[in-house]
Amino acid sequence: MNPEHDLNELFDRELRELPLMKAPRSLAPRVMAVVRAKAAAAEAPWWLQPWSQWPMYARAALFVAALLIASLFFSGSVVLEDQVRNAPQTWFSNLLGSFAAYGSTATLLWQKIVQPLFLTRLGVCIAMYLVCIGLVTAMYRVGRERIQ
Amino acid sequence: MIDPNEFEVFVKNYQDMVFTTAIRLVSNPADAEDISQQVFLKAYDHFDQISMSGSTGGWLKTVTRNLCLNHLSRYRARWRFFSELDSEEHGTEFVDSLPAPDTMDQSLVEADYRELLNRALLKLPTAQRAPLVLFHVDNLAYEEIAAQLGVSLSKVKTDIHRGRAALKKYLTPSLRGDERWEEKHNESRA
Repeated sequence: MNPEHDLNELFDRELRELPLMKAPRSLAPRVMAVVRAKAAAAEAPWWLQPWSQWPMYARAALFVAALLIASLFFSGSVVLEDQVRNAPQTWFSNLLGSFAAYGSTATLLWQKIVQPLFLTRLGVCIAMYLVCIGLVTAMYRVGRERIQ
Repeated sequence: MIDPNEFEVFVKNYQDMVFTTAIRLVSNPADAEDISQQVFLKAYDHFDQISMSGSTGGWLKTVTRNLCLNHLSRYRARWRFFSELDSEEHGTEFVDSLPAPDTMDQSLVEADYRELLNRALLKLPTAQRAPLVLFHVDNLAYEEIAAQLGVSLSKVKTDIHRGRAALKKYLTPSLRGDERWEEKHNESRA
């Protein structure tokens, strides 16, 4: 008989017959803690659940509202500011005025500082990241060869 | 709505099987426990279908194996690198780097040799242990193992061969003279 074949068959049989190992005692409690938390979360009202589990209409409504607010914040704030300035002073017009002022500031900062530097900074970050990966790889390989 | 108490019974029934499947592939108890937890959480999400089907054990084993392979693939480049470094660049075998069975192992001569086999299996490097387990325990073909691990067919065959040789070399000193080992080996030669 071929000794390699003997060994193959021996391990085939013996490895298959290996007894099960005991799972750590902490496993079942860990799993059940997450399961009970999930069960409790599932019973909570939809608006207390993660956004991904909200009903489709609520997610769509929130998305549309977020888009409206963002577009108002960045593009309509200057127009809004003019309108508010001419409107009679009420608590609502004051609130809109503050909103419009913050919007104008954010738009100005974005246009003058963030936008021009954004691509440069992104490029620098990517280059630094690649340099770090290269250095660590080289150090790892050199270290490993020395150990060997 | 799933009854948590019913699910707890399910976890307790299958936890040893899931944990054993995981630890034989990843070898690290902490990683195996994390993977087992993920398996049971997936099982919880599909509990209605699983509890109805008759192949619960098979489903759990497949999910465990896939999660373990995902886990190993994160370190694949590293263990492929080690494997190649050990066997090709330096011309040394892992088996030569295994420590001789220590006094604790020698004291196990009287213990079940399967325990030794189990321990030796967990000591193998991942590059050898994973294909060996997939071949002998999960009964996958060489081609399937190569596809699952993303390595060549010849590498799978070489690693399995080396794994067996390492196990044999590790076990032999501990079990030399142990009649059960001799008997097993003779049985397979007969």
